Amino acid sequence: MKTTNRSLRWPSIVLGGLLFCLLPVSGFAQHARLSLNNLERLNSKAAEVNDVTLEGEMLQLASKFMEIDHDPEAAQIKEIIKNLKGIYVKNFEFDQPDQYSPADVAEIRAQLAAPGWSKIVENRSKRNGENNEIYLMKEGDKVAGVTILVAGPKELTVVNIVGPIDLDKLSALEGKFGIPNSGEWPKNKPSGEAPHKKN
Amino acid sequence: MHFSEDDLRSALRRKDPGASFTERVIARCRQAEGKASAPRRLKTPPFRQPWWPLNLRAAVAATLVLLLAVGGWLAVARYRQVHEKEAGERARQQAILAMRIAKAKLNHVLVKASQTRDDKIRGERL
Repeated sequence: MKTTNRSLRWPSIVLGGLLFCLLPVSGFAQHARLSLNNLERLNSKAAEVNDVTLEGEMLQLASKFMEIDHDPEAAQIKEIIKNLKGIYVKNFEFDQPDQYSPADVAEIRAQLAAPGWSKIVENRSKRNGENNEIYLMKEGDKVAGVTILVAGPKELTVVNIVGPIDLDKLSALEGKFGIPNSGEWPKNKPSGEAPHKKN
Repeated sequence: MHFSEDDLRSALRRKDPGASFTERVIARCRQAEGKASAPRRLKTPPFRQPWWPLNLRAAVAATLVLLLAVGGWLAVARYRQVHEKEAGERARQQAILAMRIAKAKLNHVLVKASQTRDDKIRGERL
């Protein structure tokens, strides 16, 4: 029996070592992608839910169909999304405050504490009970991903964009494409506030 | 030329045709019938030939199969086209929605951060 155990030990050690070496390589491509599954349970509590998952072929198809539309703004979106690997958005709006727990946000933040992510903007308001954060992941000089986290009393939004994205272009997008621009937010970002230029 | 009575009697005397005479006659008759009926068969129109219904059925079946194949291929191509268009339009709307939310939230965070910074500066000045 001992001989059998010994003969099995070495291959399993080698295999384990190989898997250990390969894990970071395979995970690197999707490193900037967050797991947002823990927020699924908020679907039933929220008054309004916007859940977008676009990756792979669907993202390419979206880019292709932006081409068909001759709207110049559609061309802007196409330009932004053409090199992206994935867009993941979870936006919950609640009728009552405190419908999500701090643990829900903590789980997202824990992922953003991983190596590679850096917090570039943070805004906490006790008056409004809002916590807003922007995280950036860089690979060398290139942006590999962005996460925008907006946690208000009646709102929780996580925007996770995987791939090289130009935040200036995103911020300067016009609210057309058949969807009216939200009156709540200004159309253009404040001057000189490009987050990736700040740090 | 004169024939005697004996000559005539000898000539008209019954002779035995042999055992295979009947068979030879029947064979000759069949041969003659075959020659006579051959041209008649050629005059029969094609649709009265015994093979005609089989050939027609095969032709109809082949046409139907071809029509079904072409029709099926066209239907599948059309379905794929419609399906891709629907999926593309859905993906486009999703991308627009995602970009709209991303832009709104990005600007929201930037405005809030800017306001906080301005408030701090104002407070320091006072």
